[in-house]
Amino acid sequence: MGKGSDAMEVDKKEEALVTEGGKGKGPEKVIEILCQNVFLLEEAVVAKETSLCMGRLMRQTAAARKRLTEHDIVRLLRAKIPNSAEVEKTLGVFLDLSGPDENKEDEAMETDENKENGGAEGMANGAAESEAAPEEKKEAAEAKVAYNKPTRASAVPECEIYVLLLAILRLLDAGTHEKARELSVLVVERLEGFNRRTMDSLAARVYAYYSWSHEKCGDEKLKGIRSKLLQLQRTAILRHDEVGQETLLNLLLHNYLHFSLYDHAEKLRSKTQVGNGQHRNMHQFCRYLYYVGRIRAIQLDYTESKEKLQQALRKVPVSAKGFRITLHKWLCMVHLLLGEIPERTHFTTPGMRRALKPYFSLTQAIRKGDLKTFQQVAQEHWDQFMEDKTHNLIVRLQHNVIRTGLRNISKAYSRVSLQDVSQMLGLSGGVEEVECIVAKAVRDGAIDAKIDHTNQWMSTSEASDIYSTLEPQQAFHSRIMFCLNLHNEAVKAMRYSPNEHKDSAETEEARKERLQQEQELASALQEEDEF
Amino acid sequence: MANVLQRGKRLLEKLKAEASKGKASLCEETLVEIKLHLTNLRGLPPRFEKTATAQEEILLGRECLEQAVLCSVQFRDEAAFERNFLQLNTYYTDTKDLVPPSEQELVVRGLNLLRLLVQNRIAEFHTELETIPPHVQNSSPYIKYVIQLEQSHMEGAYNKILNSSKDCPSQLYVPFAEKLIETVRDEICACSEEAYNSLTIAEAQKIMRFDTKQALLDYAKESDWEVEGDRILFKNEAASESVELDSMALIKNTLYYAKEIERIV
Repeated sequence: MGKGSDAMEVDKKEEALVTEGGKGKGPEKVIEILCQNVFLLEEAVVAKETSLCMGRLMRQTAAARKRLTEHDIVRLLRAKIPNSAEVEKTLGVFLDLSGPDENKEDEAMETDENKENGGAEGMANGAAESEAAPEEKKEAAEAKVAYNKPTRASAVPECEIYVLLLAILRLLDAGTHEKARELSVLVVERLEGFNRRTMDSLAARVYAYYSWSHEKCGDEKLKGIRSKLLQLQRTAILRHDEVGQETLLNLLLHNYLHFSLYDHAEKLRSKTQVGNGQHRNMHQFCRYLYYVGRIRAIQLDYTESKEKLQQALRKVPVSAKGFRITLHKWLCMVHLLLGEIPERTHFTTPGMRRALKPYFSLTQAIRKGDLKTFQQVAQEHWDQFMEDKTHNLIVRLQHNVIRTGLRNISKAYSRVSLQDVSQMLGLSGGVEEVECIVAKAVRDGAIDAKIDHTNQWMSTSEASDIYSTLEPQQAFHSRIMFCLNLHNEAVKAMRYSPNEHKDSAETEEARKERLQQEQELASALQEEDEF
Repeated sequence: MANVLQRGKRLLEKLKAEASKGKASLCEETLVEIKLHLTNLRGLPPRFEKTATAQEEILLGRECLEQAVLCSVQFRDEAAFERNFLQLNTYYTDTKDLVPPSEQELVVRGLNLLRLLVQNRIAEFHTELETIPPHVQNSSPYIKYVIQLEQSHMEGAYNKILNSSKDCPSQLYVPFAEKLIETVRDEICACSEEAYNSLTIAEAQKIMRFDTKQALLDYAKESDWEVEGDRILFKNEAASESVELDSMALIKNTLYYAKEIERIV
């Protein structure tokens, strides 16, 4: 389950980060945040552009997620969704409403809400509230009025799905995975009834939690949804639902890799076209890169694997720590397999030192080229490597250790007997084996040496002066080309698309919305400065 | 349905009998018949219909294909092995929950790994290896044997491979193991070419494991090695490459830089 949690973490951690940022404003009531969200969603649906507001929606949801209760969901349902009785009936089975009784509508709600929050968070938030500048409060109040104006029930089905998604989140947070799983199955079934492009982004989130909740319920369940996911992916492709395609592809890859079916994963990946090669969602793209990196590492294509993993590491949000750690682990393995020694900073990133400890000791052993230490380390941390699914890569590393040792020897001695080499490397197979190993190393270009069979020694060839060759010139050329290309790419990326100016006449509402967002951003930045 | 099953079993017996006598062409004929016959069974993949005898059908199908795989090993037909194994693999992965595991599974999987190694398809070898759970990798002699071969292969400890092929975990592994030796010999020769300046013929014969002197000399002719007296001289690459500036390329590059920089400024 370790891998899965990492994959999910990209989102979660980011959400968590924003939650912290949001707290400074003082506790808004959960139900208010949710109402705002529903309002936001409605607006977006009317404007036929949900994908843009999804990020904001999920951020705000995350802000409320910790404090979310079953009662909030039901209340939201009653206030905003028409035909709520039907949905409520479905939810009633899953949501445990026997918690602290507080719901008495409007006035009563106010006091209960405070009481409810008072327990755990009262201390921290109470303090924050009193410190919060009065201006901010006013601002928040204004926003509240604006958002709460339309008290009409929402007619768009997106809102209904949103409520259901909240319920799944709540169930997952409460640790009732089985219930969450059942509900997610229902929601996915319900989603199939719609064919609305505005639903896509939301549906993608539902799919993610659908897979996640199944994984929580055990391997068997996760395996069982594979064909369902494939079917959903087909539908998504037919409907040009790009977000859905990306998400589902990743879920499928995750599913295959969870069971170590690298072959299946690679076949699926190579036959799937991702919307014109461009990813819409950065998180999904990150994950995709990670999966490709893993597949390539298993297939011994280390160079490409390294490239993908590095790219993923660059794009991943800072706060997704678990995912970053996993990336670091794999990247470290690939570095080692390539015969490179990862930089020390790789392992010393704050907060990761402990998690990367096994890999650090492994690297040290390889740097020394000491076979015994290497085997010791591998044995010691075997369980950890198993859990990371890197154990087979570790086995492959053994020959790198020998190589490094050999290289060290060939650097230090201009002529050395094979017997001594065998001893220094700690090999058990005797001179004959060493001779073969050295011969192979020579052929692969790892060392520049010759073997004298009659005298049983290995003599290192004199290193030729590299500056007398064309090598430096070529290196210089390739570096210049790299810089020039980088510059050109950067210029290209800054270019506007040809029809950009035509859409510039934004409507009054859109302008308001934009200003609102900018203001939000500005105040968030200001808060950060204050810290 | 029972009828069809019975006939399938009879055919399987026939195949086994033929295989034990080592009649390749007869086996092939029977195999075609069996495979055609298997299509009548509805409980088999990819249909997986829940017939009353589904379990028996799957067991039969699996055993037939296992026998087919073993036959192709016996007759050293790598292409047929691959084909049969891919068919069989479906049973191992998808019917895991329906029928008890097969005793032959690890043998067959080990054989498949060995085949990939012989054909030098290392990437596929590792992909395949991932699907075998780690505890099995360590406990099964069939799998462990192949893993060790692969490791020696990567390290370059060819003598280990040559020696270990004598203690195969099963008689079935011998055909492929012998093939591996041939592959390994080519590797050794290629390595020697680089690693030695010269070798006496007797030494070379020992290192490269040629049975006769003549075989070695033939090989030497093929790979363009010089034979002087009783020594083989390996050609050394002309180490001192004449360093001559390619001025045209240099001018072209410089002009290109100038053009690019002008664009930036």
